[in-house]
Amino acid sequence: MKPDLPKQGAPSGLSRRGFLTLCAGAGAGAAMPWRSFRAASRELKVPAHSWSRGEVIPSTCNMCVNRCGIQCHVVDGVLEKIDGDSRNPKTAGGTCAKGQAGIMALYDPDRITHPLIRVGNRGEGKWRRASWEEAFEYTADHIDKIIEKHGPEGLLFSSCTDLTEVFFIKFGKYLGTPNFARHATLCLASRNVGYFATMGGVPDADLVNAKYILMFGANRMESFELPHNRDLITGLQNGARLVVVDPRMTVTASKGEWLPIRPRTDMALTLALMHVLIKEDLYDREFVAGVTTGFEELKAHVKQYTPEWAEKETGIPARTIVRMAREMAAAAPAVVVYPGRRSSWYTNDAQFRRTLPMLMALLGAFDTRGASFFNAGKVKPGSFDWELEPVEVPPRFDGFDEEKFPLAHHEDGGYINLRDSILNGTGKYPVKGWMLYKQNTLASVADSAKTMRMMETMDFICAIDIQPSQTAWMADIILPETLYLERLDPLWTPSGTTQYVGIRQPVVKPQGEARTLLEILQGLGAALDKRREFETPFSEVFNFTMEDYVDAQLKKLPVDRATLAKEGLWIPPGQGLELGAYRSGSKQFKTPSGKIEFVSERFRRNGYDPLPVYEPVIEEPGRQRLVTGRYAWFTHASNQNNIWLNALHPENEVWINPDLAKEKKIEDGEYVKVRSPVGEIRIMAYVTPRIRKDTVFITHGFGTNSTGQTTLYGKGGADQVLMQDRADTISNNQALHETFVEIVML
Amino acid sequence: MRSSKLILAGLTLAALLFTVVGDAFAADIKANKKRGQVYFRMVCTACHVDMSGTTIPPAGRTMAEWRTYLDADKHDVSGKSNPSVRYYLSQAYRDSIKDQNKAAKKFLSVPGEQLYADVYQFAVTGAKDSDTPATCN
Repeated sequence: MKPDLPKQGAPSGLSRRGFLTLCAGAGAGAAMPWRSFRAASRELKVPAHSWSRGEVIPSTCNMCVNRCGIQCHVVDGVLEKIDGDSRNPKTAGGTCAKGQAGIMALYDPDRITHPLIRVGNRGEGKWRRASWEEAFEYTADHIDKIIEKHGPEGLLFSSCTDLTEVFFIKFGKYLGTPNFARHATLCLASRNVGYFATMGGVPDADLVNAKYILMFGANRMESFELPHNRDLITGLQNGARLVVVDPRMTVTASKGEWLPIRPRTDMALTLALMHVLIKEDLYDREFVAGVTTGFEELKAHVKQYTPEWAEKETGIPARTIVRMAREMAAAAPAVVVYPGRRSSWYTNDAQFRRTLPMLMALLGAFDTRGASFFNAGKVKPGSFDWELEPVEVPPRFDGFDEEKFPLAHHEDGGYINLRDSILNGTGKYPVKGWMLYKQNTLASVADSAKTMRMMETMDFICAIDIQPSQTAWMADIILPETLYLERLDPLWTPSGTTQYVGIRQPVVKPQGEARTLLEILQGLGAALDKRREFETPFSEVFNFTMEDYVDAQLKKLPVDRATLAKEGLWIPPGQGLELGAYRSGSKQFKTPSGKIEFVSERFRRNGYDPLPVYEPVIEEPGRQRLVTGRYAWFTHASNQNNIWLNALHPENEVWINPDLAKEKKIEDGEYVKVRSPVGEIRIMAYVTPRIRKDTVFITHGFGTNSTGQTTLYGKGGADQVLMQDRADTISNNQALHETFVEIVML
Repeated sequence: MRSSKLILAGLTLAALLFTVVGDAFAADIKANKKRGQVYFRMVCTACHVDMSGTTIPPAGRTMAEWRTYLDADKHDVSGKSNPSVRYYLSQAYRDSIKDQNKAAKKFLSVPGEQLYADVYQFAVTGAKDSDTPATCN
């Protein structure tokens, strides 16, 4: 029986000797094509002696998106240890399990270190090694054929968030395609739309000084928010009250009051909280009068949403709702109603997210100490002087535009809409080529079988990646990119309360023949230039080095590249927030009224409910709602194959409430079948009271189909296999918590 | 007195006709927002930063304010620069700066009224009360 406590990072038990043994064993079965590449990976340099400090090189982590400052200990060209950088004002020397396991991303025996061209069927795992020259010619040939037949708009560019992503996007633009699909619509697009409509942007939060913190589903302690967690922990140490609303008791919820809400009823709670604040005259009259519009309409609107009504919807007692409202009002304005990040939950997500800044505004919890705030940013790297992009570009093939999704970010695309356009034949024109940059679509978009069918329609798929992810495994060619520890990246500045310029720089030489994304695009661009005339030749567009790019960013800053490389970051003088401009009216919100809009003009004029209207939940008797999320040692679907991290948590489980387990006669640790209308998986049961009986939870990133991911393959089950393809109606952000599943004994 | 009134009336009529004809003409043109964006950011912003150290983000004004401003075609009343917005979108102006400005060079052959429509659309659809507020960077 597993302890009913949050699973924390137990020592992996994997010694360096054990790791080396694993590496040596990697080449054992050279008869299979992939094995031969793994055998080749034995050439990789791995740590062979006890760790010593060696040369210490500062850089920026990339094991998740938070970019913590790190110090890399390198001995004889081998990275032996990664520590947190104590000089970094956000991370202050801290780094997480993922950050330290960056070594194993670098020396991963599964890592792709040479271009691979598919020789078997897609997904079969049969590849041949290619030179870069051949890889560029091969890729350019296929792209050229697609352009010849369908135009450049016959190509789709998909990418995941990264500092280097700008080069990939630019490449697509210079090629002339309007068809991009980015990470946002698998993550936080609905939140962005909701906040944008209400207050013109998504604010940061002063958690250190907050007295009351309300989080809906946000699981910062286990997600990838290490820097922010320092804020949160400090805030809690300072006496802040934390309330976490989530059908599952996450580690974050365990640090405060856990409200196990009935899934999809979060908006009922926020509306009822507003009801109480207004009814009991607990709202901030001065803030509401000065900074908001539409209060009278809101007042009339939320009159129907009583705590008693909300209790029936949410399962949270009315007295708790009233208490919460009173506690928040007492703590106001030092209240954070946390926006959250992965807001891909429900089909009405943008409307729900809108209620969060509305609640915040009633409490006057904005632009003051301990509340939410907009950070203008005191330090900004300069811009690189790009050649001009083509401006005569056709419309998107999938109609993801002002007419169909007027408030969405059109350049980001929407995966659900995009995939349907291809499979249903409703696209304006065919898309037959897919360029992927570190985007593991099969593992990230709901209903993997559907994504597989979409891939089958493609004439050509090129994946630029580090590892043989599920999606890369289905490609026609894989172009291996350098890891973050092997390259110089564009400079960056963090959001939040601290300001600095950070650098990510090479600490070791690239493994095998891996190249930077810029080098890959330069090579591919040169091959394309030989085949056809582009508006601006790629040889002119990408005629620069990363050093040139970084120097351009530094042009207006009083620090040079050498100093940054030595120090790892540059902290400008005069830290601290400048608050009060919005409250005083000297700054306006980027909304039509210039104020926080309870009644959204943008929603109204685009045909959406201008006030958030609650939709009753429709449930499926006998089935459980599937929710997903993360553990602290994994990011997205990117590092479950990492040997060290996988040792922490070899396979995922389905969380089942003990009452449900009893009814179904399921024992903890037993393997079960989880079935949805679109797929089924085999997975271990984890019986725990940390989840509601009407809900089951499966963490993300397991159940890979890629036999190239030898550490992960055959372990756990994929949540995306089960999920139906629902999306938020306003942003097209995929809705991951709209699927009901059945648990069946094997 | 009478003649000055006549001149004023004539000027007003001419301005009205220009506006009406200009609008009608602009209405016939299919604007390219992307080109307007590039020109706005690379020519208008660059010049404003050089001349005054400040930017003129589309999101700095409302849609109505941009329409009023652009329809009035009054760029600057201080006398320090050309008083017409259209001048800065004209082929003559682009020709004068083409050696220093990539966007002016690239769009040199684009008719002035077309570029006016392009910038007009970018500014209005990027206004602070629009659905897609735009910065100038």
